[in-house]
Amino acid sequence: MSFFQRIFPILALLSFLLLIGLVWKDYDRPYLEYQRKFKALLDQKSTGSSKPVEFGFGYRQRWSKELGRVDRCETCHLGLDDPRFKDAPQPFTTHPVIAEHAYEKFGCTECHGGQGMATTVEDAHGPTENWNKALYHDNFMENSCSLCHGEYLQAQAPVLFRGQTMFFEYGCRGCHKADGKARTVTGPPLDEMSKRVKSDWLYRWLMGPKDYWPQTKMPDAKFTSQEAADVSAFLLQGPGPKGQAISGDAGPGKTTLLESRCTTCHTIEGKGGKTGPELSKVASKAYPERLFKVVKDPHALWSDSKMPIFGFADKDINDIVTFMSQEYMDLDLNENEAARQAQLVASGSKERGKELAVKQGCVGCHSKIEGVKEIGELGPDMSTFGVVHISLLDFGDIKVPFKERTVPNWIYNKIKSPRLFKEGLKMPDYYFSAEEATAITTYTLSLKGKEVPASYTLPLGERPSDYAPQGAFGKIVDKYRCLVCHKINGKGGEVANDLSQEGSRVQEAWIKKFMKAPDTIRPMLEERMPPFKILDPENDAIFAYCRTTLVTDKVEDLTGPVDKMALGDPQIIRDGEKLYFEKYGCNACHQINQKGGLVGPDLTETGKRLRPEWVVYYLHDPKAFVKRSVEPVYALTDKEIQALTAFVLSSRSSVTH
Amino acid sequence: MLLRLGPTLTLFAALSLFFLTATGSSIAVAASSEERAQLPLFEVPHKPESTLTASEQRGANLYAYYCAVCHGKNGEGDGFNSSQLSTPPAKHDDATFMSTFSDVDVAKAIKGGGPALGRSTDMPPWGRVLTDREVSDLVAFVRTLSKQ
Amino acid sequence: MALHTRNETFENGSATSGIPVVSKWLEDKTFGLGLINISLFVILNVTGILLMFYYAADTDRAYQDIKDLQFVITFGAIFRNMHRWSAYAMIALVFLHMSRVFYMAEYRRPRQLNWVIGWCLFLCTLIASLTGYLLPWDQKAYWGMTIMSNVMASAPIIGEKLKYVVLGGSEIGQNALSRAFDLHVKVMPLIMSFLIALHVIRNRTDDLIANPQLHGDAEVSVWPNIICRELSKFFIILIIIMVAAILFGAPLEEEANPSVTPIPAKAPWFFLGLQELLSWGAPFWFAIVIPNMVLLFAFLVPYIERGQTGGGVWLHPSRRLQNILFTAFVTVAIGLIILGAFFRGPAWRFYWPWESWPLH
Repeated sequence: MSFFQRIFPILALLSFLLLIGLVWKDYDRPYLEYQRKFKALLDQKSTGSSKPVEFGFGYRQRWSKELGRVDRCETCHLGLDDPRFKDAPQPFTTHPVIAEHAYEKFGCTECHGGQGMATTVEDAHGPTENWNKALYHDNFMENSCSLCHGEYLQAQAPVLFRGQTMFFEYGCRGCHKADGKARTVTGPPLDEMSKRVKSDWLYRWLMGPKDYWPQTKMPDAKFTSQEAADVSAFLLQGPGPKGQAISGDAGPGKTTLLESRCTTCHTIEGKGGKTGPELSKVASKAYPERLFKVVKDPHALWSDSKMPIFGFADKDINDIVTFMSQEYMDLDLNENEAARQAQLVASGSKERGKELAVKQGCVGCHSKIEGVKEIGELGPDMSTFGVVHISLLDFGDIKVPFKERTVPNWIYNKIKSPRLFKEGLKMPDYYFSAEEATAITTYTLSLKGKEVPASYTLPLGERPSDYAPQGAFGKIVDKYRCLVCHKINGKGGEVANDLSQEGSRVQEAWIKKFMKAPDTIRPMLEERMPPFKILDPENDAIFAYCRTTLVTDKVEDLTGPVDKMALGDPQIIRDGEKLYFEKYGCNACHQINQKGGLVGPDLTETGKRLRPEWVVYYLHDPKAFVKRSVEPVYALTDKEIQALTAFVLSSRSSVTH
Repeated sequence: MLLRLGPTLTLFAALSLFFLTATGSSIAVAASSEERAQLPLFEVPHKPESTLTASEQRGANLYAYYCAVCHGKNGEGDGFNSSQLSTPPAKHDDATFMSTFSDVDVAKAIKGGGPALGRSTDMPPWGRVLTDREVSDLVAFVRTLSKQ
Repeated sequence: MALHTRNETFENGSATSGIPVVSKWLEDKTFGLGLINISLFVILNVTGILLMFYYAADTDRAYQDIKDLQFVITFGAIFRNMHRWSAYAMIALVFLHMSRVFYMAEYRRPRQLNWVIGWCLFLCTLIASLTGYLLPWDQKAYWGMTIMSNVMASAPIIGEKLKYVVLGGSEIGQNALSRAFDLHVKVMPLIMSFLIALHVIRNRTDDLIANPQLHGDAEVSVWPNIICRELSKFFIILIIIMVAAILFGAPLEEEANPSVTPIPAKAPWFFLGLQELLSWGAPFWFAIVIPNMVLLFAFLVPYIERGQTGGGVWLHPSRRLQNILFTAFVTVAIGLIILGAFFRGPAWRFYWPWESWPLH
């Protein structure tokens, strides 16, 4: 017998054993270990119940045909639906309530990323050699919301929304295209710079914008000294200021300035609003005649400026500028240093400066740069950057462990430290904090250029309003830039209250008086309305528009019933007083004659301020107009509403003006 | 010299060796590209350590929006509005004080205001403003304040 | 005519002087390579049939089916691994079998046709492997096929048309996948089965291999002796393949993505030598002329080499020239593959295996 003949039985046996081994290896899948653990926990939690615990071992999957996804996450994540596992360790923890996002319809990976088809931990969570789209980190989770729900998800996906706002506010769109999204104006135009700013200031600004104005949105291009000088030289071409003398009185200037509440928008020594630049060193920046022009008519210089036209008289402006020239100087500035910087700029190369300005894409945020025509879209197109392939991202010289080599990590680090990966990169540094970088990363990840089936689309955000007031009212709104702080019909800022129903709300005499001299109504707001020199015809036009357009039928229809309420009846007023102080404790949040809380608006002069119909409407349903107001809902009876209205309208200021 | 394996067995041994080296070398080639100098600046995003559960975190957001103005950021009763109140707001960080109330009591106070527990009307009722889930999130968060 | 036994030269002793010890040890050992190849073919077909049940040649589904096999289907991963490793092993072993036949000059009269059939089988193995390589529809498959179809396209006159016919279009898409699947699953097994049958039958009808005098068996019966011996070898191969399948997973890259090119894109390992050769000069010469000349020469070996002595044993001294030439050919063939696999990086530049590649 040959050797092989002799070993045939052994080999046959060995093969058979190996076959058994194969069967065993295939049967003993890694996920079974988790399933056994889960069953043990399940048994623990069900002790005492009469029915035996039903649990089938094996893989589980959700197959969403429309989305084309097969998700097998529940093979290990077994406690998702079971509220008893709220405090269990992962992978058994109950999934937070996700309302209408049923697993059958959505699966898991559409929102969470990862490899749904896998049944082992490393493969499912990623990244692996053949699957780079790892699970999204918690910080970036919201990026998937916009797939179905669209954008503008302010309440539902705040991180994503913040990223979206920042993408436009900080001028990312100036260099990076994103499909179908228009650029928003970010920085001022740069024409006539030589008449506007001093050369040494421009040099310092280009070397480090945040040193002058810490909240500026302008990033740091990290110029070398020579480069900053060159760019300054390029921008400062042209004749200097005419040298008009601005002479006025600093004293009255200071008074006017303080009364005008410039800090509602500007910061002075770091304290103030977020809309305008820092003013405490402005005299070291701008020439007095430029300051004069800005205060007098900011719109002539920059049509998109947020600054209103205050309507000061020329003499007042002279006083203000004189005051600023004397007080708002940079006290830390060394004269010799300033002279040296001015000299650097004077000897800078304009051609090199222009090259740099083009290379750095200044025109992405600033318009009217002399001789620079192109639109500055120098960075990669962001339209589908959320699903960019990892091989296209250059990690440069940085050694990154394989598990962290993912698209979100790259984007996050790029945004936080734009020049991290290697030498010679040109994206400027915004010095974003971790939260800001996270928000923008989330937004970038949401730009997938992908569409979900129509049955999955459910836009939830409020589309930005295209409200644009026309006619005389429109001109007034434009002049005083009301919509920078106020919202009307969904358009505008959130610094002050929403004016969309103001016509139904306020009384004519009061509002006209208020417009001329605003005082504090809502203590909780951080900024105060500046006094504008509103002309009488303007005031009338404003009120006429409010009364005809900014009204709501719900209030107007109450005119009849309100007339029938005897709101002047002293008994009803006394009843209302009792309700106000004793039953409902309104004084906890509202003040009358300086007594009471500061959470809600001051109610002292309500009888002169608000229309009775409005008070009735509001007491009936405080959430009807401002959905997220902090006012509780009391379910008042009609009689109580009547009494409270009567009381509130009857209060009068005990301080005589 | 050579082992006295049969010819075929020699071949089989060689085959096995082949498989081992084939996979081994492919792993080696893949690994070599990662050996580069490490610069310590690459950040992996991480959530700040939070000991709050998801429910408590939601409660924290609600607390900051509706409650902190009187009760203070951390439940110390020192909110912006607290000096204007005739009855000082409850101190949620006081463990002894809070232990006299069950979770049901706290939920009652949130939903029905002060009068629901026989206390001051300065505390408004939020029952028609908050959903039941939001109330239970708030209760969960309020409990964490007294645990510090 | 007297039967020529292979070991005449050793038996009469005169030929044993001056030959290397290795040759003496090798004698007329075949290593059972033919049998091993048939075993592998059987394993491939059996595992292939089972894989076929779970695979659909649809570009939207193919990759997902592979993932299903890997993660969910019972024995899916194991069969897939067995299939892949058997295929690779078969290519190598068919090549070794062919080498063995050459070194023992077993292509001489009356076995010339069998040699040609053998080479046809080798080519069929390569085609089956190439078509099978595309089926997982991953990056490796897609770009490997891109390289190969471009090589085809560089043929003169008919090149582009040939590529069009092979791919069913001008790019690698659904048509190419369907064609590859049909070839791999229906056409090649059929052709190969037929050719293998022919090959084995001719082997038996041409001179007997077994040398009773050398091995001391006067006569053996097929059952249980031959069958058991052959089954043993089959079992050993089966065991090796099963163990390999358990220990080493078949490679899989990301799903095929026409817009992301791997740097560098490499052909499957069994054609890597061809790609390396191609990088040396004009496609016409290095992809078409030289390989085809080599192929033609290989087919015609029995008709060109007309020696009379030294047949039936390994490395007989009288065949020194032929053996050296053939060894050179084998060395170059394997060397090209090694060069292409380990020494080439982005843009097909030369890199030592330990050098890191710039990723951009």
